[in-house]
Amino acid sequence: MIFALVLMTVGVFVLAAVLQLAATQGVSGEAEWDALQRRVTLGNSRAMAREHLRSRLFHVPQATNNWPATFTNSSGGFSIQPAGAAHDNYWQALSVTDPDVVLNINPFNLMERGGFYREVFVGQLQQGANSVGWSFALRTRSPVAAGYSFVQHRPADNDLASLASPPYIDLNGTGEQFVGFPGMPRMPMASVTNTFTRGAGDSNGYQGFLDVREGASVYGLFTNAVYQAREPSNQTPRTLQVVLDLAAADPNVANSVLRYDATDNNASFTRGTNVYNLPVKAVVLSGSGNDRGGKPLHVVVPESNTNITGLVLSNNNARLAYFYRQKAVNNGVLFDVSSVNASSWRLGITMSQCDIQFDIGTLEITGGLRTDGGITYQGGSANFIPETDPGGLDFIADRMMWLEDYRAQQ
Amino acid sequence: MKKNGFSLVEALIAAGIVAIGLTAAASLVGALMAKEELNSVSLRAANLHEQAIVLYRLGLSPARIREILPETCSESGTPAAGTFGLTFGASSVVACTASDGYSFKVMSTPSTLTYPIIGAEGSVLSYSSNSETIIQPATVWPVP
Repeated sequence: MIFALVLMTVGVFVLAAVLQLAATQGVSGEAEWDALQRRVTLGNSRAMAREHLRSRLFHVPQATNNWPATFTNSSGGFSIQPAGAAHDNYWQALSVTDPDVVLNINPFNLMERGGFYREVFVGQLQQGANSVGWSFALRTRSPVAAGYSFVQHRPADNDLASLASPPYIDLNGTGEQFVGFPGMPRMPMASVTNTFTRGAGDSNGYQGFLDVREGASVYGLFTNAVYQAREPSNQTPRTLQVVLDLAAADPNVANSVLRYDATDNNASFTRGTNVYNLPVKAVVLSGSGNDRGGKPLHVVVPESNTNITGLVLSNNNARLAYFYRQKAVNNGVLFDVSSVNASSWRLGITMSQCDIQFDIGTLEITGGLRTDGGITYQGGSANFIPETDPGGLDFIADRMMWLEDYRAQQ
Repeated sequence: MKKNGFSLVEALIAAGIVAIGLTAAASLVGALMAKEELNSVSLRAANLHEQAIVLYRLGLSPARIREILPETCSESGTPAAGTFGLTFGASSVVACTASDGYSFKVMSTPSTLTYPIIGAEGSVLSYSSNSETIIQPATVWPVP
């Protein structure tokens, strides 16, 4: 009798355990759908937050108020605001507009490279009925300032059709060696434009690279101590050049631009009390020799100018210089870079929608080249080595920008 | 006179109780097995749908997703026993405006996963489904 009762008791226990297990499995099965719903909502919220930040931060200029930014609908939602107390200077720093904004320049090293800037935003992403802490990091850097000596990429989508030729490299005169592969997705990017000024945003906004612009407050005119125009004795007047002397003292502002009159394509500059307006055909950068001092020299040949078709590197140069040729898609020029009495140059070059031709002899260039056009070597060789001291390029050099996000630490 | 053992009536009653208990237990085991089978299919379906959504977010096409998932998937809304129906609806661009006044656009795509409920004989008793809305950035590069 006792044995039977014990047996029944054990049986009841086993049966109860089986029932409990089955019920637990059932609950687990239902919970799996809830978990799926939460994870999908979290992914939706992350996509919304990223698109919002892209929309707000990758277009300049941007308002600095109205934080936090919140949004919610049936598929997800977010709430985001800058992590730091100083909310009002992030976009200037990223939009290359304000010389008073000092960026965080990381020291050059193999791991981090140089020229980074980082702005962190914190937020909450909706995850089902709850929310999860999330962080967003806006990062930017100039390829040349980061030590990349050679950057070639596909041009902007909007302008590819009218581009004379896609990016190519012809290293030995045997033909164009194309970069990438057939059907490679076009890389969205901004051209080097002069289309926006502070207070009036570029309608295209960020498309991979931030604009370098002409006419912004960061630029100024070189004084007469720097500019001089001359016609080389061995060339005809139509090759009139403007010589920018990097051995001269600093101009009145840190960065300068060679200005052009859009109505006649002439270069305009000031010498003494006179304002000159000349049909310049080439820019001559006269090097500083071994003197690394002086503020960086920035030369921008804007889109509006179609006369400038050449850059001449004269003598050696150790002072930081950066040369921009804004998009020249409409004139189809082959931009010629040559050298005179030079073996070593410190120079960054950005060519936008303009094929470049090197005819420089043997020249070592400390810096780099970024272009979305073709590259041809007509003679000699250029040996690019990384720029390791990018100070001065932080708020002026063209740069790429991207958004990272990650779950906040609990 | 003292009797030893159980009478026939007592034995029959005891046997009846045991039979009822065994019958209930057998029925319960059957129900549990059916429930276990349903849970198994449901869990597989949930995992499958999540994998499909992740792959879709990565930019894979619906056909490619159905091809590489570990279960047999089709576009059918009434999939055969042991298979799943996986569909992605037409994507639409949704314009959103956050509280800061800035507008952004996202791509919204409905996705539905359907799975059959199998009876004891292996036949399909009914269908269960789960629908999710997938939000993606407005610009997605296609992945072959």
